[in-house]
Amino acid sequence: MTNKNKRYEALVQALHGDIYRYAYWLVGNKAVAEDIVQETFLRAWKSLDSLKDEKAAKSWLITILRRENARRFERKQFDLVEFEDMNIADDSPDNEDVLQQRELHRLMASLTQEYREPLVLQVLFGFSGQEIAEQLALNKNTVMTRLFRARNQIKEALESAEQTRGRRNG
Amino acid sequence: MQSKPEDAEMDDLQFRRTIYANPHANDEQLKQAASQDPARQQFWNEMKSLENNIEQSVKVPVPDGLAQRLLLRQSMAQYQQHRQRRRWTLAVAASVLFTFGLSFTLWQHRDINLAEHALAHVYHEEGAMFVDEGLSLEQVNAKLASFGGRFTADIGKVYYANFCDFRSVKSLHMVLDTPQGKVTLFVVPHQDNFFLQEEFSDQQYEGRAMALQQASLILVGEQGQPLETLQESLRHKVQFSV
Repeated sequence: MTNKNKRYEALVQALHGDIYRYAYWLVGNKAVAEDIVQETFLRAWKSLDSLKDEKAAKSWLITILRRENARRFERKQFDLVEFEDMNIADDSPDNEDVLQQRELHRLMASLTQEYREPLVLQVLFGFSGQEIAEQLALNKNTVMTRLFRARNQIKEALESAEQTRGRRNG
Repeated sequence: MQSKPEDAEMDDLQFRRTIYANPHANDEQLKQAASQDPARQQFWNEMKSLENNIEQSVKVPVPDGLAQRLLLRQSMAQYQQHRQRRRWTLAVAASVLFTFGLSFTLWQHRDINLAEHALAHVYHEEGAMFVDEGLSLEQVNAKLASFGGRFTADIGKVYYANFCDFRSVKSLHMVLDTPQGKVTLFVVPHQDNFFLQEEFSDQQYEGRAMALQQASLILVGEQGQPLETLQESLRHKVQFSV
């Protein structure tokens, strides 16, 4: 029993941050994300014995979380969730970095789920194209195309915003 | 854009697509392609720099104390589960105590039935079934010596052996191993108003008792657990000095 508790605590400490972030990008709302993470870890606790390989822990938790999220839709207990504005500490001066981070957050939020999800899996968990494909039950080429398009959209949006600013300033 | 042969154009697109799909790609072919073309190298550097910003952006702040809340929620869930189990055990224990109390009132003018007492004691000290003190024969004999008794031969694994109060008579409560599971053994020194039933049982347990020179040996096992063999073997292995 204590051994199970120890494993669970290690799992929480090591992965709760990135699992929360993943949930956030999946649902677009901090409170809902935390709810889903709570449910996910509680379920993980209940079936911790089925997790044999600690290396598989990330994708195991992600699978539970995606199922929890799907369940939320089945229960129809969801509001159409909008991404909130990012609240980078607002008392900090609006320097270029903060502005850019805010812009990037907005762009990430504006990506469609099918582009955002593979990107988040790659960036947060360092998954390979193959691993993302397995996690999302997609073909690897599809995943690579989506990753390409996601970054391409972000880059183009940033460039066009820069041009607009350039014109305004010029 | 400078003009390039057709196949080089294709390579360029391929290069960009691969970088877009993974700016941190660590591929020899990519490195070579970049080293031959400053424009490609510059594009790659830009994408790496953008990637760092994307990483920062994806890593949104995690709510304070989330890990602690997750651990707390789990331990509360575990506690609830435990309490439900405990409530059930308590209910059984309470009903046993009630029955016991009732029979005690009815029986208090009679002699004391050791069988009833043994059963009540097993319920009361259920915890004894879950400990493993791994006692040696010497340790057991040291305790038994206070009744003037000892085991002359090995009696198998002894999980638990402690003195207890048997109607204010100091007795020895033991848990022994048998091929059919754990069995409780009480060694109770003789008293005038104690009387023994050779066999007894309730819904959960059954027991056998025998009176020896200076003490009674009472065995209690789960329903259906054979006790005769153990009883016979103990009868031959225990010895009381006068």
